[in-house]
Amino acid sequence: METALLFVIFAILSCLNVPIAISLAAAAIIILATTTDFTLYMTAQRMFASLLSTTLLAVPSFVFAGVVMTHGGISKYLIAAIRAWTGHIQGGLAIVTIIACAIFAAVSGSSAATAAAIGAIMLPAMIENGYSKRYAMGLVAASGTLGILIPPSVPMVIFGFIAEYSIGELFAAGLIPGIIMAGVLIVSAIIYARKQNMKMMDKATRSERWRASFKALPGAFLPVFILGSIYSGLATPTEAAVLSVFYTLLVSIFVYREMKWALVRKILVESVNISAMIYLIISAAMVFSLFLTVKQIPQQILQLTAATHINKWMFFLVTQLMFFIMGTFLEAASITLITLPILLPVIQALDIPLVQFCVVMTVNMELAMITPPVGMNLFVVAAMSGEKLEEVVKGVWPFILIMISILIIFVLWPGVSTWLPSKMRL
Amino acid sequence: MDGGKSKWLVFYQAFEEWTAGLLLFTGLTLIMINVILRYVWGLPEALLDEFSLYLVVWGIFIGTSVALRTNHHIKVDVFYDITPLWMKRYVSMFAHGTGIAFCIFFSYFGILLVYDYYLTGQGSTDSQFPLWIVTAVMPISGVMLGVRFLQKFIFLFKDGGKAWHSAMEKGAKI
Amino acid sequence: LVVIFPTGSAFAEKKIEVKFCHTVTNQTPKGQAALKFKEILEKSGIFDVKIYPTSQLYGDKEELEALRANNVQVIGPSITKLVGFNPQFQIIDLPFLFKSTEATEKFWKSERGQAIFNSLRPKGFIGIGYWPNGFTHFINNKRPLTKPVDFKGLKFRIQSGGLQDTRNRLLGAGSQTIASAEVYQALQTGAIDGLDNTFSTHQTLKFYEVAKYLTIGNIARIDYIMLTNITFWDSLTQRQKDIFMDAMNQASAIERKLSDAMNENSLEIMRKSGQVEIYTLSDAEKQEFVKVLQPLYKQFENRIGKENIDYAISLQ
Ligand code: NA
Ligand code: NA
Repeated sequence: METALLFVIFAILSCLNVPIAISLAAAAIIILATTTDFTLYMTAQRMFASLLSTTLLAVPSFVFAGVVMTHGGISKYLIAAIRAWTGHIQGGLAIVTIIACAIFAAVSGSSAATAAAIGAIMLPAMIENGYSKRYAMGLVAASGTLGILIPPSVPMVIFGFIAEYSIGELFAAGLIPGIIMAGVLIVSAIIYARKQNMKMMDKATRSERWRASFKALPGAFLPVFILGSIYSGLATPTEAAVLSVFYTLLVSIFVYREMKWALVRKILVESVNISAMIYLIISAAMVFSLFLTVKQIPQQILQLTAATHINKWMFFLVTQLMFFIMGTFLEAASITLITLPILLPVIQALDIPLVQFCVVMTVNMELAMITPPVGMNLFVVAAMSGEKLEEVVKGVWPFILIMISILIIFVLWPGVSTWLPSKMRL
Repeated sequence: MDGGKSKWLVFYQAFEEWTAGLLLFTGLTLIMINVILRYVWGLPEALLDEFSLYLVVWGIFIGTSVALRTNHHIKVDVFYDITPLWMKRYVSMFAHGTGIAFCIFFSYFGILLVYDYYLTGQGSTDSQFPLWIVTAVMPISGVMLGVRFLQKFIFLFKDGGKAWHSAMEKGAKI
Repeated sequence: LVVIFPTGSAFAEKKIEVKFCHTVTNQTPKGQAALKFKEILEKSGIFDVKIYPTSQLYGDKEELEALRANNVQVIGPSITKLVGFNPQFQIIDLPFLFKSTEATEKFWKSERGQAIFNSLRPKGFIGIGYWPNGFTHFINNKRPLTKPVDFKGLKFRIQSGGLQDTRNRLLGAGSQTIASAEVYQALQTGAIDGLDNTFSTHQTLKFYEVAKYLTIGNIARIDYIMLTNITFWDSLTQRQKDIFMDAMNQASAIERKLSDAMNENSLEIMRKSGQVEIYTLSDAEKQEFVKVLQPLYKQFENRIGKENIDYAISLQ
């Protein structure tokens, strides 16, 4: 009852044009104040503590780097080079976006960071080349979620920590499903481009290509720099995100010489705007989930499920549905921490391979990032493109359907997830 | 609504933007310095980890009011967009009013939190830096965000709503 | 007007709610002991205990504040978290100080230890139990660490600055705080060379999968202190307090056994895996470290109290 009221208040406030972050926090504060003896100033503490996270730093860092790339020339030259190479292929830019996300996902454990890093370059590139804004935003938001399926993955670390299972094996389990998902997205991009009969450009001449590539080289080196700094042990993934800010600054100032003093304030303000919006929603969502955890709502539902004798398929159906619903409001770490401890014994009793469950759950957590109202990738993309949330949602829903079908495949076909980890054990 | 700004408003806006932006940037710079210290000399400075995080979070909290002024906080606009103009004004009154109420609570809870840390004298994990100073950003940013909500709220009533009407007709986002 | 009460029970139903939140899973010794505490305490029929594991209610950055606000009644943070309230708690971070888990337990049960526990009362909570977790041991990727000079130039992850940072500095090593979710990958890529933690952490968080050398050396302690809110505590009658403390003491005893077994088991798993080379420091080798670390003991003497340090050393 109180829980229903919590959601109703949130819905009313946000429909009346109150910012989503404030709707979330206000609904939680009202319910906590009226139905519990909760000491309310702890909501402020929760908002502060939830942002004091090093891993979260990747988001403002990539946002910052993205803003610098836009104003300092890097994006412009990169787009020109990508266009020179793929402009004549139908759906070429969309394919580049998906592959770039998959490669970036191989260094970053976070989906929001992946969407922010790739979106900064590819969103303007796609829109400039005739893709509809909606489609471009949906594609970046959805491809960005690969960040947590292709290893490394922050949610998988949390999964391994709770299940006390080898993180190396969980990472390995995500690799093939991640590649499959990237493949499915590419196929969908080709179909979309054919159906829309996307305009193709004239094939660039060889000299045009090389000239564009040479000009874009310093910017194109950024992904190599990020990958290299992580795999050489120079930096953790979070620190690599920070380094990319300084790399883009150096390139803009000294190589392209397009960074003017007058731009400094503009760049700072844009970075602050996007980061502040995202951080405020994260902290408000953490206050919102406070009530649900205090009341142990998800646990009660899951315990009911766990107690009834159900078969494997029913179990998958119920848990995935539950994850999907929770995913509309909560983020991956909270969902895993709340549900996994209860589910573990059932997973073992039903003889479901843990690596498979981890992969399926991770795909569901990817969905959580693109389902409204609370979906990190939706916010990142909306902020970076300056578009309304509804517009992003309209662009993303076809991808939600695609990802749900992928989820079903991974449920029915455990081999996709279990094959690589089993090879590792030999 | 930004037309004919007083000197004081221009100054305040600059203060708001530079404070948020420089705090964020300095925080990120400290992280980069630490990476270099660790990689080149093998001697990272643990204190930098802590303060870089504080600076970024401070910058971002202060930045919430910058983001409000520039309409960056995400809202559900579906229903607002189909509302007739005269009613939009009342919806905005409610929305900004809720924003002000939130900021009052947020600042008040923030003060209670700061006071609690002040009483216990609790220090941070790494440097024992007083946590009441670290958390003081909460009431400060709460008031700053509230000021921007109030500014939007008051504008709805300027010249009995005429100023707002003409701004909306010119396509302003308010 | 006649009101009929179903004899007694209607009033007895109103139980005292105890929210107990912690940051680990139910399978860990702390998690198991928390469940045991719930089981024992609820047998009394007057308490209703709700356990919130794995930081699902409050994480380690907010549980102390939540306790002080009486939003939870029992938490079990790492003792180091209390250094911000009373620097004497840092005694458990001093390397090579305690000789055994028994010695550590004796210390906290002694008058000195209890005085430190009760020093928290003005802050709104008190210590009501000591739950050991274990000694820390170094795991790293570069070389077997057998003497102080082996530490030179290595980069270690630490959990909090101050003492651990100074310790590593004296050994010529660097320190960095890294989020626990990133430690595994940081070890794998070499962003850090190693860290010291308990056997059970090295094993359950799979650090041994990506680090090559484990040095057994009983370096410092990572232990938990059980805390309760003072408003809640003072609201209980003496009889209720006795029941409560009895349950806590029984749970503490169980936790001690479980954590010992857990560490032994973890070491065994790591040994059998063949993924780490294990080296055990002899007493003579430990003394080499103690010599190098003398400035550390001197520096922290004022904050921790020389009598406390001397007393800890005297315990076996
Ligand atoms: Na990844
Ligand atoms: Na969602």
